[in-house]
Amino acid sequence: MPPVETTVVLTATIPANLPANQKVVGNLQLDPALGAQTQLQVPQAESWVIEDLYVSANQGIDCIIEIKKNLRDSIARSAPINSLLISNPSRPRIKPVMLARGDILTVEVQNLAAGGASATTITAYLKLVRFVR
Amino acid sequence: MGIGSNLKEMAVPALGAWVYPTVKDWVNRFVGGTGLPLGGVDLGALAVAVGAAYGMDRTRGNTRAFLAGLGIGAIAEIVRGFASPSVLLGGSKPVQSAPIPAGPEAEAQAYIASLG
Repeated sequence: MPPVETTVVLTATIPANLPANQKVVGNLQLDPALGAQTQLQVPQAESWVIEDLYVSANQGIDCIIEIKKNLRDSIARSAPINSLLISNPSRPRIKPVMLARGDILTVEVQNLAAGGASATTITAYLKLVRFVR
Repeated sequence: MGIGSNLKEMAVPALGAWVYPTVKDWVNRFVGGTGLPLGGVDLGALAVAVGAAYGMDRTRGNTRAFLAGLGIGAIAEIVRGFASPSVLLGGSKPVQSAPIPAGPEAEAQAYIASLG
């Protein structure tokens, strides 16, 4: 089966008045039918490659996104997301990373500026290539 | 008895010892498995060893030396068969395992490599 390209929607809510450089857990939505989850597990018959991370518009609070495997290993770290606009062809890219079957994908979002008077939600996108047996 | 004579005395049994495994390998290579293993015993080697022992009773000189080598070669082949059943079945060629199919992991790794 040829590889399947999928976009994972990543959202994270920075609470009001959160000091800078804190980490919050991001939500991942592989498919609208599945809803947002804090963890995604690679099915037994698949391997995933995360190839790209981008935003479609400037986010209210600039953040760094850390991609983690199996809840402990940091496998990739983004540049500040406001430099990752999809319209910018020379935006910095993340190092492509692989997740093998059974691996658990999570993300942590680190705010580079303190949270405002109200909570702020940031949205980014992960380009995921799925290799299916 | 010179050195030449001693060398000849050593060479004839060695030739005998070389014959059985080599012929078995050739047959395996060109015809396919010749193994008639029974409980881990190479029956071909057993027959050759018994035949060589029988022949040694009735011969003298170089023929007897050759048969002695042949018997030793055959017995060595039986021992080798016990040590490695795959050798017994397939001559000196190891039994090949089935190729591992390329799975999603291998494809993903190749994809990452292709990204540079």
